[in-house]
Amino acid sequence: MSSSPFDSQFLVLVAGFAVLLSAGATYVASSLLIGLLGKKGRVVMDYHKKGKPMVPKPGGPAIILGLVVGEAVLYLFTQQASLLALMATLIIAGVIGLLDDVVTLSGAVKPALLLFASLPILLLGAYDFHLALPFFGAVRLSIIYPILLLLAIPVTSNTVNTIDVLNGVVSGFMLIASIPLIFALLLFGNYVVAAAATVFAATAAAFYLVHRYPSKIFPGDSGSLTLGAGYGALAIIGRAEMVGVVALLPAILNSFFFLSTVKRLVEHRKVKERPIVVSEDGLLTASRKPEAPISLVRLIVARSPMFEHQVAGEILRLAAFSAILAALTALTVRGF
Amino acid sequence: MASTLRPLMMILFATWLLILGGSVIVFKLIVPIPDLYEGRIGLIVTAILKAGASVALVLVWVWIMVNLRNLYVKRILKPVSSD
Repeated sequence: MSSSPFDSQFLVLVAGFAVLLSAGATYVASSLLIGLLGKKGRVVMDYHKKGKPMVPKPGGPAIILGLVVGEAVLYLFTQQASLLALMATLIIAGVIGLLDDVVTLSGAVKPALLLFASLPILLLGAYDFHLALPFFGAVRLSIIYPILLLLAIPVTSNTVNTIDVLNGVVSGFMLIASIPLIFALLLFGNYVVAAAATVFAATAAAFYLVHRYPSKIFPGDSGSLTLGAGYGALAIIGRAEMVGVVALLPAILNSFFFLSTVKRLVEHRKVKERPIVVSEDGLLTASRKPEAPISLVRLIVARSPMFEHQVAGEILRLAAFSAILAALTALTVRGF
Repeated sequence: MASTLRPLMMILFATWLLILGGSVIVFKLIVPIPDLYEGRIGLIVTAILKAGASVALVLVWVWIMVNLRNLYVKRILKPVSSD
């Protein structure tokens, strides 16, 4: 896409500017939201801490703003239609997330609405139906790919939403997962999409600063659904679908474990038995009830109880392990 | 900490191998199957067989994942539950 040295240098400059702008916008907007939401009383209980403090929510608008501002700068300078599709996907997923933050959508309505977030990628043709697979190159999926694409954004959004369970996890997880994606996009020569993915990583990193333990603000569904939709869209428009899937494996397994025990699409807040129990001093213990759903956190604390920041650290270590597997996947795709 | 994560990392690694292996089976073995008969009926029958084989593979994948989960739960979560 940018083959000459001048073009490459220009793209690096524009990407650098977009990264600074998106990170700055996310951090400043988050800081403003912490004060504003606190004053308006839009706070929720942080269940996993001693004393159960109240934390402002949602910080999603700051994430949406940071991502859209950064990607808009990239679009202005590159004029790539795929970036328009990415921005539209981010905005639609963000609006659905905000709606969910205000009225709490059901476990079935939310993924159904998120189908609309896939439409910009389909309608603007920002995809390639040749799926790049490890070891033996691309496979033409002209009929099934658009159907899979339609489902991809609801799936990635909800999958990422399910790991928004502890302080700093969803923002830290997305930051780590974006590293192999950027690596793959650079390896495949999709430099503009790699720049867009770097903006994504910068936004996640900026939000992590206020979301890490102890959280000053929660992203809410507007934040986690936007991050999930953005990640899915980047993997699709950059033709790095397999890398994206592998990088999200801990979140995918978390969803799989949860769904295979609950056996229906249900809003996690409406599950009667909690997978973990929080003691008075804030120690997280695996639920002893067999009917409690299995989740990644429950499996992590099954051997011995842990504090929230320790569990969050373990999830981020799993994300790093998956990121290594995703980078290896990128190399196997590139090799052919 | 490392002992807590090791089994989960093994599940992640097994899942990764299953994804790679599954995609090899689908796209290297199932997709290239030639039409079983000449003409339109042969095309449809072969397409149905290919789709059926792919769905069966997905079901096998889910079965393996459920068993991996159960193995982990039996070995690690159950002793805690039965205290």
